[in-house]
Amino acid sequence: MSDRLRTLTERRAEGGPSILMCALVAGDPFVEATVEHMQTIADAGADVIELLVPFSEPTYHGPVIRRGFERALQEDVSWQDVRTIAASFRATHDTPLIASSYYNPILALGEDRFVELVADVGFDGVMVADLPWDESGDLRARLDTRGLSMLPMVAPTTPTDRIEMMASESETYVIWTGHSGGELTLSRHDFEASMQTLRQHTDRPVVASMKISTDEEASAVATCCDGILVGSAIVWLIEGRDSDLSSRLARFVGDLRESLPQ
Amino acid sequence: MTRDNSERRYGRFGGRYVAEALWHPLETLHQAFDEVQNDESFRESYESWLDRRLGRPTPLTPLEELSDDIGGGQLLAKREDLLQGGSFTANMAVVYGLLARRLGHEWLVGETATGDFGVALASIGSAMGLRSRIFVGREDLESESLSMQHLHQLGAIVETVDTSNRGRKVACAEAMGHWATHADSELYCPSSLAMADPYPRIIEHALSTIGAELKVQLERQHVEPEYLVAPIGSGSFGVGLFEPFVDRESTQLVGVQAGGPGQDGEHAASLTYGRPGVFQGTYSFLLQDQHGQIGSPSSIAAGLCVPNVGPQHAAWAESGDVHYVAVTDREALSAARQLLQSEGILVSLESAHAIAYALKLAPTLGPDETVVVGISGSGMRDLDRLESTEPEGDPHE
Repeated sequence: MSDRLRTLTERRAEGGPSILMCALVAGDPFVEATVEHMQTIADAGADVIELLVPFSEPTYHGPVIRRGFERALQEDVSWQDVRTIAASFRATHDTPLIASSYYNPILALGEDRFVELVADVGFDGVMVADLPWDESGDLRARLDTRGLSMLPMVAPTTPTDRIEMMASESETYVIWTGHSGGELTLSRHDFEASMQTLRQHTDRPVVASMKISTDEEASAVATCCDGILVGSAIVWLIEGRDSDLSSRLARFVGDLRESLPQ
Repeated sequence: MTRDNSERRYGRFGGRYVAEALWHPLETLHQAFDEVQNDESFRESYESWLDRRLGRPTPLTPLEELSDDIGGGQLLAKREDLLQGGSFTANMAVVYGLLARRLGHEWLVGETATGDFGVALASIGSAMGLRSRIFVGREDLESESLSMQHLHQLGAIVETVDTSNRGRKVACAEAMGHWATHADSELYCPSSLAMADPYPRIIEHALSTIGAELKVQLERQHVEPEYLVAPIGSGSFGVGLFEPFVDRESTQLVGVQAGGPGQDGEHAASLTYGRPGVFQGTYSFLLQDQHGQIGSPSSIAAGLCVPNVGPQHAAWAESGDVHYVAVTDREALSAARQLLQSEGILVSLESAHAIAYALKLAPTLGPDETVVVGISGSGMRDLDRLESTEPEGDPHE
């Protein structure tokens, strides 16, 4: 695990503030803008940034992020652009970075070249929406040689023995994927119960992706777990392309930060 | 690539590349399927549905007039167009229905492009006391209005998926997304062989009935064919026809993919022009660009117009057990007309691709040699296309 990710995971495990993870699409609407947005989001209080690398068939993302992917693909965003974005961001910021995509763009580049790229340019971890834990052994081993991690993702359908397996084979915090294609799969009440069950099977911090779009929702979710992942609400703001986008983005992320338990 | 869990694979192809939310529902289905494979009562129930409801066995028809017209070898057709609903897909619907009942599920969830599979699923669902939910892209909904009326009258819930123009790919994504949140009460029933494990195994099991039946029919007629030809979209029908023949060296198996309009880059021939990658849950041959973005397939036959192919075909293509070729839209249309005019048999444009290739093979053979062509479905839904695309200078007009 990278030092940056270890510090973040341990800080929360030792009772530190909730983790705020923010996602945006690489190259939406163009490469230079993504770097600026990442800087804004980090400065406004995000603890970790998930950089979504677009894929033409984003089965497991909702409509807002799908549109973000389409815009980025119109810009022909490639792994080379991802390298540029991450390197530019790393020049000014030390915020942990997660490279997130689907498996086929990674296979097209080649697993070895992919790991080399994300490690060289200062990513800390990887998420692959359609690569389940059981099919990711080789990639995880490759990432491990460069000190990078694959973040384990659990869902409402994940049985407890799988939760234990993934937790035992990883070191980072866990991502709770509480929605599928943008549809929430659980009521808030069920979510609370699920978090209690999860706690019985891992002591790892849990960051929940629950389609959060307001600071009230952020606060409600974060009281049941260790942090939140906010993606579509940020991509939606970027889609709006307001003239004062930077300040709106900063305000939105800042409000999220303030709403989280300290 | 992970190569553990070889049971999910065909050689290096296959696997289960899905979001975590779908892993456990697929694992549950995998376990249920493993149980029923060794369950005599399930097999008896399945065979009884095939005999008494679907109308199996389907005939093996000699195409004597057509064979005489072109000269050379003899052509025979295995006729899934004569099955309930006019296509091979009813076999899959029966297996899905029986699996759903065994799992205690009340709903069948599927997607359909041509309408064939949606109607088959909803029909068999009705007969088994199950409800059906069918996802359809808006463009497909509008171009297959008869099937959609049929679905409506069957009482199926039709979920319209708004898309730019990408047909089954998006309907399939929506259906899977829906299933991820309803896996306790619904069974997802894909018609595509290019899917996450265990679907390629379930579909092969359901459809190898076709090849097994053909084997018996050929033995009774003392025919050992030189070629067995099938149309290949995702390859469900092809896997069912070929699987029982793969070990038989005396018969060359030929899978025919869509060559599309015949211009550069416009086709659905993943095994000829694609390369391996992961899409829709499986590692197999795939139309994609250098960055791994999925390509758009092109074909006049909706059932062949897919960017990927089932993992069994990828493995057979690499091992050389099956030879894969591509036939253009124009050749398929011409073959459909020629078969209709000489034999009075109206086959789907998918099947017409296989006929078109058989018409190329037969003249190279002697009169004692045989080509068996798999007909995957009837051509009623393609009449409009035959009417509207009558080409100038068609050699058979």
